[in-house]
Amino acid sequence: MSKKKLEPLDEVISVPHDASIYEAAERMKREAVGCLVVESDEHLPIGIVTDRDLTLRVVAWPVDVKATPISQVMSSPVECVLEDEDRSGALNRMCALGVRRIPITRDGRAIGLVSLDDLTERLSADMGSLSLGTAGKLARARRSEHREEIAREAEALLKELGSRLRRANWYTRKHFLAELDEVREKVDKALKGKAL
Amino acid sequence: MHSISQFIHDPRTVDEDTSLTEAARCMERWHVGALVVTRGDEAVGMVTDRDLMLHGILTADCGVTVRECMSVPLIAVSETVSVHQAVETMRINGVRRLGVRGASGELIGVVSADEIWSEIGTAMGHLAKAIQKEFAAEKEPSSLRKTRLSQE
Repeated sequence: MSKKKLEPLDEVISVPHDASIYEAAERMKREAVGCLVVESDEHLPIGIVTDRDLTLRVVAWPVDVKATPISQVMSSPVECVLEDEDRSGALNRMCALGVRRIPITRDGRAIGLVSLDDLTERLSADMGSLSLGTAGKLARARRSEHREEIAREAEALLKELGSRLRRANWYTRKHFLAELDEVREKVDKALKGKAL
Repeated sequence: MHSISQFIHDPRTVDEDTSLTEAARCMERWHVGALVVTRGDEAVGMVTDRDLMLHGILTADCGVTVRECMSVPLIAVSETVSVHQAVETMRINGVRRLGVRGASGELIGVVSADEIWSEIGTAMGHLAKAIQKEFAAEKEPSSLRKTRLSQE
């Protein structure tokens, strides 16, 4: 797993603590996100709210969504990771807290968000390249094995041809041409295999 | 790859006349993020926690029914498809959950991307452990290894 600095994989969308639940939901829809960071007047993250939180805390137990501030239904305090933590650190924190998203902070302010979906996507991409790399390596190994085999055969054939040609009579010359055809056929086959 | 059978869960269903509030309470009770919506005996759609939230809060009316905000038709696969085919169906339709239908078309369960991912992750974890074990075994002095092997 990457030990690089944690990249803010997602833009963090913040709302002020006194925004209404209605405004927060509107923001989630407009920005197509499932999570908002709730900020204090000093723009510090004081809570977090997800679409599921709103379903279970608001839709299941209706309140006046235009008059109730989001701070009343947010999860608080919010756990954050520092931007110099690595991916596995963020993942460990998510596991420990049982959450899917964690804001990334710099000097106390939320500058991005890392979500389990993003990490999964990155991890899958890594695994994909890894499998492709392994498959490529195997294919190369197979090809080179094949080539070595052909080279060995060709070498043996040439040796044989050489010794026959030294004795050069009509019989050898006739077989020389036949064997040359055989070599050509093998080379053609090998080239086709390489193209595949 | 394997069939999806091991990932199939019993479907959690609500009737299309259920209110958003009642559906949200069902999600909480059953710890799920989506419900299959039925009309009589037929599974007609699916509704997620996000659907309930957006519709309920933005219309400021949680008393309306799930019929108003469900996704139709229900994206479903046959119980005989492979994991690969199920994942492909999710990708094409941009959904994370699928209904699963039996031989006569009746809904027999649901599969979720989370569940499949979790299973693959567990398998990868086991694979990683096997590789580590292999490395550790190779690092052992060969005389020790021989002794150990003969003891096994």
